[in-house]
Amino acid sequence: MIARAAAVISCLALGLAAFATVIAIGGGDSIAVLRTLATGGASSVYGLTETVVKAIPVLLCALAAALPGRLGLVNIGGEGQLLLGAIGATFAIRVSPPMSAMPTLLVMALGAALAGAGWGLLPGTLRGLTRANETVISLLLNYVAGLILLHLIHGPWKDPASLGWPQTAALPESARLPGLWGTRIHPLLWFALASCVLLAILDRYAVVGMASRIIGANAAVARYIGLKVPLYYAIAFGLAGALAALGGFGELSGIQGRLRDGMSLGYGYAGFFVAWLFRNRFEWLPLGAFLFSFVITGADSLQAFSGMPFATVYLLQGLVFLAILGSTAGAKIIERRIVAASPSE
Amino acid sequence: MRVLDEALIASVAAGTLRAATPVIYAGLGAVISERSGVINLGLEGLMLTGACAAVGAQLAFGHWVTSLLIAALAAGIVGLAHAFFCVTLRASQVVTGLAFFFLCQGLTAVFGVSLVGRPVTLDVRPPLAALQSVPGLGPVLGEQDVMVLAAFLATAVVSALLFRTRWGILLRACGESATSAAAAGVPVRRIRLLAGLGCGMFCGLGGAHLSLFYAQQWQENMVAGRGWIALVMVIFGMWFPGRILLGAYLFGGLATMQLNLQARGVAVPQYLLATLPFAVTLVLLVLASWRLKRRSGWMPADLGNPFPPEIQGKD
Repeated sequence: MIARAAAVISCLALGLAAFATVIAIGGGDSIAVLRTLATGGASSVYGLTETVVKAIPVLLCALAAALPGRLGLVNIGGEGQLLLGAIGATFAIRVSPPMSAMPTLLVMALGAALAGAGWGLLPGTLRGLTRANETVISLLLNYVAGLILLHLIHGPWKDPASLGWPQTAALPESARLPGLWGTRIHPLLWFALASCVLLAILDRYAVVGMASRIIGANAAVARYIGLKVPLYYAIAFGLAGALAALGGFGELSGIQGRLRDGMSLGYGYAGFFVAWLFRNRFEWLPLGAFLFSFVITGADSLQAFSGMPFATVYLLQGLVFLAILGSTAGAKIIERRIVAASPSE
Repeated sequence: MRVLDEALIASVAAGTLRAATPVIYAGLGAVISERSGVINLGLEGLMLTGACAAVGAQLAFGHWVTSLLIAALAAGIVGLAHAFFCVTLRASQVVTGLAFFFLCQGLTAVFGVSLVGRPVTLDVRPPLAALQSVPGLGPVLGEQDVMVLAAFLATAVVSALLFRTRWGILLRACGESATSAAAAGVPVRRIRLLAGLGCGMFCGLGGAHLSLFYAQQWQENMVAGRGWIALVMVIFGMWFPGRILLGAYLFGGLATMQLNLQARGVAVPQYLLATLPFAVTLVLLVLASWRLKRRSGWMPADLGNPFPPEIQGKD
């Protein structure tokens, strides 16, 4: 166990070193880049609150990846589900009559959740019914969601007063989530944390948690003992879509204030990464989301101040993925060698 | 009013061939790897690597053959690295593929910063320019660049390699049952590693066609989902190179139709139309999966499994 942890940590360091090397070769100041990525959100009180702000959608998307992940499925569609949430919420407010703040926000959240659940149900049900690969479907749907968003903001939902900018009109004050403590942190933080706690409890103590674990370990066995596996797949993906979509609602209503391009700073992919890193354990996801949100905040300011592309985040994600895959596999191979070399009875 | 005149048909056909070409190369790469038993979800990243390397090389050396070689080499190295993780280290193929998808997106974005907004010029004539005056065939094939035409050749070569040579039988044996192949003395791991290299090189060529011949410049994330579409076309084509060609042309046709309508000033919702290739690809994937559910014999039976297949703890 200690050897495994040591291997993971040393390979993490190796991944970071590789990252710094790539940045340096690419013509960047790797030390400054690393420092900004590590402390991007921590240099000031404002930066710290911004890190929490970005941790909200990351956490919701991490839940969206972890929920199907418990069943042994891969949901890489958090990005598209989040965008659908923003679209669904915008649609809800466009069709509903003017109301006071509370009902407006509830209607928007409902619109977001329904749109996201529908988007998530697609890969979930198709996987259950036809064994079509849910990873590929959810990923392809990310591209579709992005194009639908572009269509809406360039076309039917475009705000004529925006001087040609592709975006919708600003949301009315009643449709804006209030900030907490005078910051941009919005109340969905509580919702995300509560979902985390609830899912962790269900996973550990409820029958569905047990059933999910069996399906995740071996779907064939689960079928033999009478579990309706496709139903679990569909529900998990539907819930996942709704959770990620609420992240999109938060970005729309709490942060951006209107539908526009760039609603998501790769939150869906970050969520998938966090869920994988913490092995789909719900109780660890808030920590993971907060830590990774530092990196996103850092990359965001890097893009703004030093012209580094935001995709450096993906570079880091990929390298850490590989470092951990490599170290886990490497530790296993070394263990096997030691076992093979030791004298047997 | 005749909407479907001859010139339009010819221009759609020519555009279809052009747009399908990157998907064909990537699909050929994917089929080599998957027939050996390794599924690579990082095709998109491999294509990006090729596209970025090709433009970089073209700007540096100015010779298109060199650029293609460098693109194939760069993506080949990444493909080999993917195979190293999946085959030698026995890591999960799904996660490794996604890791390389992320990695290459970031890598090409960082290295591509200095290439953005620098169009490339190619000193290559269309090889069939002599055909241009031939009615019917001329407008379709005459203007095509060398890589579009080479795609046919490449498909035939890969098909022959896989199904007509000793080497192909060994490779397919690794994909059908690595254990049996190993028992018969086939070097499973070495073949899978080589297949990963081949997969990367073909994907690199596909990306290079996109950046050098199609867009004639580098843009961040310019592959825009074609790698994932190629992945689906391999399933749709039931792991036969010839049928993958068919799926790729379907994609090419849809992509071209959209551009043609736009160019003719037809008022179509541009972005909505752009979802069409993805929507059709999704339908194809579902149909193919539906068919495979009943007749799974088409799929390489050992696809996605590490070798040797030890029972591992869930961790």
